[in-house]
Amino acid sequence: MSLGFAADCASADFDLTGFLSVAAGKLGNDELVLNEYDDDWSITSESVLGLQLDASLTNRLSTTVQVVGRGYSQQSGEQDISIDWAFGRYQLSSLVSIRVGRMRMPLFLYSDVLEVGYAYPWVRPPIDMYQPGVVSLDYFDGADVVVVGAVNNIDYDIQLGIGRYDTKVGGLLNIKSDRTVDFSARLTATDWQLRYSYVTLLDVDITASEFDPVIDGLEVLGQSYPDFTPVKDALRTTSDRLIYHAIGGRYDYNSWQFSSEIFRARLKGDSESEFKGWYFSTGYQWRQFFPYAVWGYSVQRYLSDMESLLVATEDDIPRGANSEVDSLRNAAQGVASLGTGSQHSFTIGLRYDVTSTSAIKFEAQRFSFGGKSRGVLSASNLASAFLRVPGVAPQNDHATLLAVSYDWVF
Amino acid sequence: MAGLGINLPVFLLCYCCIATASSDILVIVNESSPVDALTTEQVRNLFLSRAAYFPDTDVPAELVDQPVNNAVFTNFYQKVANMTPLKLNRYRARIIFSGRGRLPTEVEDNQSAVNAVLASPNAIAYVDSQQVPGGARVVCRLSGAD
Repeated sequence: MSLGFAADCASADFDLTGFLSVAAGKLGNDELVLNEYDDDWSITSESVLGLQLDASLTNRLSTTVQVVGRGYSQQSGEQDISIDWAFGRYQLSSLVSIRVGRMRMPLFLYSDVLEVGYAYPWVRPPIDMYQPGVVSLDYFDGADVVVVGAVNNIDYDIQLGIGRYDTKVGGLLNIKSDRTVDFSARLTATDWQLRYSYVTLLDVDITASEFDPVIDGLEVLGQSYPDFTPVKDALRTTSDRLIYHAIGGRYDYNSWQFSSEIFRARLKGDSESEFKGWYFSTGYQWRQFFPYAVWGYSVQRYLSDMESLLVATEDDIPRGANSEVDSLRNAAQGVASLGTGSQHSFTIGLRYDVTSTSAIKFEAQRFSFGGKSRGVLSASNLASAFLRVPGVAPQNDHATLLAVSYDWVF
Repeated sequence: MAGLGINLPVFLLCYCCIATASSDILVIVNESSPVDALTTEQVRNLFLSRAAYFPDTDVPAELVDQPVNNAVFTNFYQKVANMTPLKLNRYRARIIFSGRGRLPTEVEDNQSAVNAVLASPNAIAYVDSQQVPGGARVVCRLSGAD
């Protein structure tokens, strides 16, 4: 595989490599949007171009910078270019190195290569695990220690990091934490791989300018009517804690490949929520063809008892007494209900390796939503989800996403 | 096997070569290299970017790769890492784009690999050769017999 080119100079050498994915997709549902996929074919939603520069400055010191341009960014909610990696690495010994700068948050089995379609079999990593909102938590600024080695042909990768974190989801939600801790440990043998990761965001603030009118309104009310203050607090995530655990693995048996991951996350504080997701994928490698199927499930639950909190406010101002206050109550209920939803997904697809550095994939993914939610599609389209009237079920409880992608590494 | 290029007859021809060829693969370094001998596992760890330096040194290895559709390339990674080219490509993509390692420098052919080793004290390459080239030292021999 001729990946990249190397230039050798007396004291420093560098490699320039890159990846390109061009993907076209369509969500056959005129009510919903996933990233930018809607009921028309879109070629920007998942098309990505990345360039990476790796330079060795001395025997011990090296640097990596990766810049990625996206047709649609889950962070900004539009087309953008961002610096995804920018770190210096100091090799303490053959096994241990320290990195400082901007690094990937090690949430998933494929965290390191989220945008590099060539590196995984599917058009996109299984969405029940790699959820639009969670995937946005993709890099942090800080430092980590990495231990990489092998014993008896079993590779191990251990990482422990701290940093700070400041990101957006869909251009609307802001997630910020000045203290993050992350840990991951991976074992890789010829036929299998096992991985565990843990991330915690301490003092996390989650805000959305869309929700500010509701929260501000509740704050003002709370000054005269104290029962409204807990309602406001239950909607706002300030100085809370987010804890995330995940386990994942892969197993190859002859030409069969199996992989699976599961995560659980909990937001603790005045506003409490719980998130879970998993997938199981299987496929068969026949020459350059790899047909696959994926089953997935994800659920999130808003745990604070908004209903009881709102009932408590009726002691201060009964329902029906003030239409503005009632609108505010409905809006609070609406924001809270965004936090609850579930979905099942089933995906079939085919990957075909065209050359040693490129592959084409075809995929169909079917979502089935639970209850009144829109599963992961809510997170990726907060604006329209926010406008949904609480208590009214969406028209459709299914959606099918078709996609074809071409992935290339160079 | 030998390559995932577009040329199917070459693909089949290389497959036949692998089926019948049984010469050893020699892993060679410059005679001024800091290493005298390497186990198969140590060779594997170097070529898969699992080890930053030559064992017991702080000298980074300058890895030399044969061309991707060369039988030696395929045989080498099959013996040392039990990886087909397809698996190796995906492994490498993950290594590079996570900033965990760099690829070996690819040379044109077997003789170029030998020349690269002769030219640099920190170079290491694998070659299909019956003899040890002058100016180089064999640190590992991968048997042709499976």
